[in-house]
Amino acid sequence: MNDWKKELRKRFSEASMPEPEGLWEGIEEELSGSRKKVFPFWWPLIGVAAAAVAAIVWLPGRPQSSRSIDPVAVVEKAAATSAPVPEESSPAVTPDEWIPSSIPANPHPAALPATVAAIQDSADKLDERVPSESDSPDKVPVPSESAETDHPKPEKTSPQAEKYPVFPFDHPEPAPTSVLHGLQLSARTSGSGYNSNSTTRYGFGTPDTRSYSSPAYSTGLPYAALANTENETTVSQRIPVRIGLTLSLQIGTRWSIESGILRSFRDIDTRITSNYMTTYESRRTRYWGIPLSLQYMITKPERPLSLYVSAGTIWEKADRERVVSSAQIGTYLQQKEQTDNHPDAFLWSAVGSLGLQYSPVRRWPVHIFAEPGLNWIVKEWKDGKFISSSEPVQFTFSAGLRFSIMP
Amino acid sequence: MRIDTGNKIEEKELIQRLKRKDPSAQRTLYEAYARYLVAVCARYIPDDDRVKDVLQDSFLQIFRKIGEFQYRGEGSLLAWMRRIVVNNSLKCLRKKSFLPLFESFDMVDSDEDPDPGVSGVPVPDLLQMIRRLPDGYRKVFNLYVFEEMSHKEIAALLGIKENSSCSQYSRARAMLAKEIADYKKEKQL
Repeated sequence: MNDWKKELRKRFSEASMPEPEGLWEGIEEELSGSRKKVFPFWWPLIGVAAAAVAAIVWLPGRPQSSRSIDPVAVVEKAAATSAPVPEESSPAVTPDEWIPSSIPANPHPAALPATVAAIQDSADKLDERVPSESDSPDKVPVPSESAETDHPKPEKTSPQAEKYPVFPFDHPEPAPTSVLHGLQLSARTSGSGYNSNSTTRYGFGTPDTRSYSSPAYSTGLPYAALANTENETTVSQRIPVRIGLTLSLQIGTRWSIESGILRSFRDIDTRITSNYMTTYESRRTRYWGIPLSLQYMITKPERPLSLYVSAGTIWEKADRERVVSSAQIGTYLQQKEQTDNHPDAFLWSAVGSLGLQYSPVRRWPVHIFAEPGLNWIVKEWKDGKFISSSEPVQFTFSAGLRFSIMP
Repeated sequence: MRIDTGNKIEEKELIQRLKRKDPSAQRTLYEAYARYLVAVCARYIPDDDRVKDVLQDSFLQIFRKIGEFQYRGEGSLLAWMRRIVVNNSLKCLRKKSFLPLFESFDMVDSDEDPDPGVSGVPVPDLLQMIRRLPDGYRKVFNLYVFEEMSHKEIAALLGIKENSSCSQYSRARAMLAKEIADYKKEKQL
């Protein structure tokens, strides 16, 4: 029954037809054209990405004066704060006596060195009033009459306070840690010791050679507050998130090279605690970035849902930054909100990630991608200089639309 | 298999040279198999201009992807190249046809496959008769008879139902039988 098919196949296996005219010439032309190519076709894509990066990085800087600053409030707190003072360490004198008029009412963090120097001067003068061990308690200095008229003395005083004046910046209890309100100094009380595990990132005040553990501090003398300028810094960074559009050029069955534009969201909360001041800062920065990465498809490319790995780099320029900060020095609390619409900040990062890509319509060159990964900040430029990032390696998440093109 | 090009070049040696992108090896392969592959492509595509386009694309694909080819014995290279030509021919026909293949709901008797009377008819004339078949019938006929695919495989490849493949093959065979009968009557065979 099927013999006729077998016979037909056998007869057609030796069949031939004359070649169409110009067939080999067309093939040869295509082959020699691909052989003659000096630069791969993806070089123009890299060139465009490099030009865009160069344009962003070397854009002329905007004048700093264009920043908008909106101070929210400056709050002046009286010596009698909300935190109750235990009887044992009731101050013998009021804070006003210890704060000379040369000290500004609401010192800005940038003016701290001058502020500290003023306090140190005041403290040096108080040195002369320190009673020697041979002195009797009766010879403890008595505050001037003028101070008593403004601020009444507390009813009870501890035996220690009677002998030695207590530094007004000392607080008997740890300060509450509300973010923006009710800040108090987190200075340690006499004898409580200092947290020696400080991670100094930002310094305030003037280094002083007098040690924290000196007996002078335990007596509560004010100059001891300047003895140690190490800080305890806590930085909390949320995972940076990037959303954007990318263009992917296929350079093989599974390999592709990608570039595009991404919008980055970086949020950093910083708390710096010293024996002199506590500051909180919440920084929200938005960047525009250009990525350049190489991708390898792990699963078969023709599947609607595919897995891939990606490695590359991204250049980012900040275009908006909002900073909410608060600080307390002495009995003064300052709170400030600042928005910069032209921040001078750049980031150059290396990124490695594992991605998931979904192609909703087959044969369409549009895909949806999601890429969790690791981000390493190679260089960070801020306000005219390179700075070291406190957390250079972070987890990151990118998502968006990808358009793929075939050469 | 020895490729009779006058120089008795071994197939394996030719494949190695092709993998090194040797231009002379590419020319040798073309001269050895071009006519045969033209006949294969012409069975699927009736338009000669489109045959040329499909063959050009096929040879370029062969030369570029020769690195992926694994030699499996005599005739494996020819079979690989023929598969590439057939796939490209089907792609070309897919682009050309704007309407879905005609689907028949006729009952098909799969046991019967009568001979349309091919013996005694020269191959070039048979080739022209096959080229005159409608696109859908021609595709199914070529895949069933020459590529020895089952109707289930054909249905999966072309995106049609198995019954439709059966019926189109039957109709193609019937049309071919009529053409052969007319041919023989004219030639008084």
